[in-house]
Amino acid sequence: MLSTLTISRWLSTYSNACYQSCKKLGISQRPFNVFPQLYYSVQVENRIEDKLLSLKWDDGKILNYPHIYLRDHCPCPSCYDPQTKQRIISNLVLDNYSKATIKTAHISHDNDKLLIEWMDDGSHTSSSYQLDWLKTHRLISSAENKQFRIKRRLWDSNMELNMPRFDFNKVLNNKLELYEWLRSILQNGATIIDNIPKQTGQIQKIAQQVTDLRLSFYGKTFQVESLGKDAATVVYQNQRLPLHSDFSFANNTPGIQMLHCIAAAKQGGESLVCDAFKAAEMLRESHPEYFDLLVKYPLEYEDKRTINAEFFYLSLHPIISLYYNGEIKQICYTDHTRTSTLYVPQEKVTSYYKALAKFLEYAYSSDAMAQFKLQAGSMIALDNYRMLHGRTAYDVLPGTHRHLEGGYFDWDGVMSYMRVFERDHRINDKTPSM
Amino acid sequence: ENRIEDKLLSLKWDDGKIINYPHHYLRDHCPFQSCNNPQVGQPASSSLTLDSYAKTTIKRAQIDQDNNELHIEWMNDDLHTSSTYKLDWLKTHQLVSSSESNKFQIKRHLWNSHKKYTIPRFDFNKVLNDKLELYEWLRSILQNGLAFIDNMPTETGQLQKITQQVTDFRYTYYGNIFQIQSLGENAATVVYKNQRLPLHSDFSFSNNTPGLQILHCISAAKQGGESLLSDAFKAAEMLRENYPEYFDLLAKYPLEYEDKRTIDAEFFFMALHPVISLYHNGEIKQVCYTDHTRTSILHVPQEKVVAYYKALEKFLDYVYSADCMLQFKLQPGSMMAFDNYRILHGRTEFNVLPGSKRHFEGTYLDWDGVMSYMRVFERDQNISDKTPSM
Repeated sequence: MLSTLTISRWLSTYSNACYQSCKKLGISQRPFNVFPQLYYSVQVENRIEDKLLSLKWDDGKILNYPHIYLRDHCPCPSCYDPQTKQRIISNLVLDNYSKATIKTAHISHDNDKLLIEWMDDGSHTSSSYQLDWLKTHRLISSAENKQFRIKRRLWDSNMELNMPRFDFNKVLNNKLELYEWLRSILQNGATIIDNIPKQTGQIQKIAQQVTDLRLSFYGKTFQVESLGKDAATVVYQNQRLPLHSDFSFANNTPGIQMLHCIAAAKQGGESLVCDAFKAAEMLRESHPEYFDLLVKYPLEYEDKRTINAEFFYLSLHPIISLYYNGEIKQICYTDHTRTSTLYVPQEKVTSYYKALAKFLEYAYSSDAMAQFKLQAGSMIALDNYRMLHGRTAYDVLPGTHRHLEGGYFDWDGVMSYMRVFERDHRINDKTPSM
Repeated sequence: ENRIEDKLLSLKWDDGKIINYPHHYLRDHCPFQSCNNPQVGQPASSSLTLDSYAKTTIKRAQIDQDNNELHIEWMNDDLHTSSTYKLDWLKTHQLVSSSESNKFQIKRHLWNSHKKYTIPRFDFNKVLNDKLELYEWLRSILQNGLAFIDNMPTETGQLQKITQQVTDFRYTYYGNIFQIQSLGENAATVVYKNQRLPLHSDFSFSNNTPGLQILHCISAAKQGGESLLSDAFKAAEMLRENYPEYFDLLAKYPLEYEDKRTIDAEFFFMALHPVISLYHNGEIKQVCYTDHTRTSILHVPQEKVVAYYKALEKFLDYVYSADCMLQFKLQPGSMMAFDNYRILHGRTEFNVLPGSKRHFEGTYLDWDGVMSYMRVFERDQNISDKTPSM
């Protein structure tokens, strides 16, 4: 007698195999189940006055689905186009379904679908939803803590010794290694790739496989060399560079920053890397009122210079940006480009500076910051939305040369690449939206 | 007056107004030689922790009338003991209190049922050859949300003549420049088919949405295919006034957007955007809304979903109302450019009959690049009404 578990495993394997062959034939890739999961004891209650549909699942859990939500996402061919995989119905105003109410609802005989009849919905009288879909589309209440974002590993004082390291040849030649490298940047904030030829043009080799390098007025890649008298910005001089984000003066900041060390300075020039999300969480815990100040009021950044053409970038960024549920989305802070225009009300300015001082204290602490010498042939990749980076001063003596090549990716392009990989390799832990 | 306990410096100006300058703020922006790096024009001083000026306090402050300067002596400051500030600088760097309305952002002219008919129109040759016309065209897009250019040749390749003077294209997977033509069965997305397209923003599935969208009409459909544009900032302000709780819902909870397709390579973009995004002072920064790419994942708590849909319904009512929406037929040889952060666009359906072809050429620009161009122009031409940050 076959157990349910064996059957469902077999179904799952078979389903996978069908999925792969269908993919080769170019058949639809939308939530696709050859053999959807079967539910044997789902109970349905239509709470018409509240315009809610209550489903009690096998595990006893009761979940409520507002009628309007179900109507808004009806998957029938007149509401959803299978060819373009996009909505045909638009919205409740244009398509006039704001009054749609569920008249009856019951589970199909084969236990895999919910069948609904509508009223006050014109000629659209019925819908059918896969129970699988309903399970993944449950709406949770405010009270439940919904951790839906990217699972990041915040740093601690051990990070300096435990920085994730990858090998250049493996990353270039093994797609899974390349994916793991990207994922590591997303989760850990920083990674190092070793054994890279000590010449320019290496970052491009990675870019060719993932997504275009971001084009800035410095070009697709930029060279960080000590240029002495000709330096355009402090970056290109040789003094200390405090912890900062790159391109804060742009409203759209780069996602990943890569710095490939071609030649390291004989003395000094060490890299400083800080997990600013960790510093911010430390601030949120010890001084929540300071945290709120850094979230609320933006700083202004500008960059005016001439490189091929004249530029005058200006942007506003609070130091800490949050998602709607309070999780941190981005940290942005740069001293050498922030302006003297302050958008903090006068009576809060002193507190704002205190908040900033505390945040920076955490950022430079050993719990959040690592300091190390990037060796020639190695490259560091950082999440520019999360990490702050800097360097110690170095000497420009004859015979001493420091040369790094850098480039940026936008998160949109990188994450798109990751999601396609996850889909092709059926990886469950999917990259959500930034 | 140096109010040491409050760490404030009070200046009473000629007009009797008293403005307070926190000590920290002044120290943070000391214009002294060692605090600035003259070669690159960037501050040499860095953050409070590194340079230990967090405890800095003003010991003494004195006005120098002859030189129009303020001299300050510091105490508890490791790095230096005095600073000098120009009075002019102090005047332009006043910090306002919370109660004062700090309207610092782009001055936009919201639409209404009359204003929508007075959107500026420009001439192609003038825009190409006169830098001030080009600037005014960009400024109209920023202030009015929209601008038209007429008398363009009805061929492809015209858009870049204008845009290459301003900034690089924004590259999307549809190419730098894209063609919208009636394609019938092979269409990649609903945009490329011929049915109605409801009002929407473009590239909502990208976290970085394009700033400007430019569409040049090369040939118009014989029937239908009219353009719909709506000032969503106006719609949002109407919502804020009449239904503030709905406004708050649309500002708080994001919608999820996605785009999965294969064009040269495979893509899978995803993004979260609330319908309404605000600056810290409550002014509207962006409206983002697209039906055909929004997903079925809803990041609204279950007990607020019904109210959220009501809010959306009310907002869309306003969006499609006469105060906000403009409907017109863009003629061959004309081009419209609009602010994709503010204006929702769509079209009515059209017929793909033999002899009836609809062909638009389009492109996107990012606001960062466009505004940089505008600021350089303002500086070079000494225009005082400067473009602030987006």
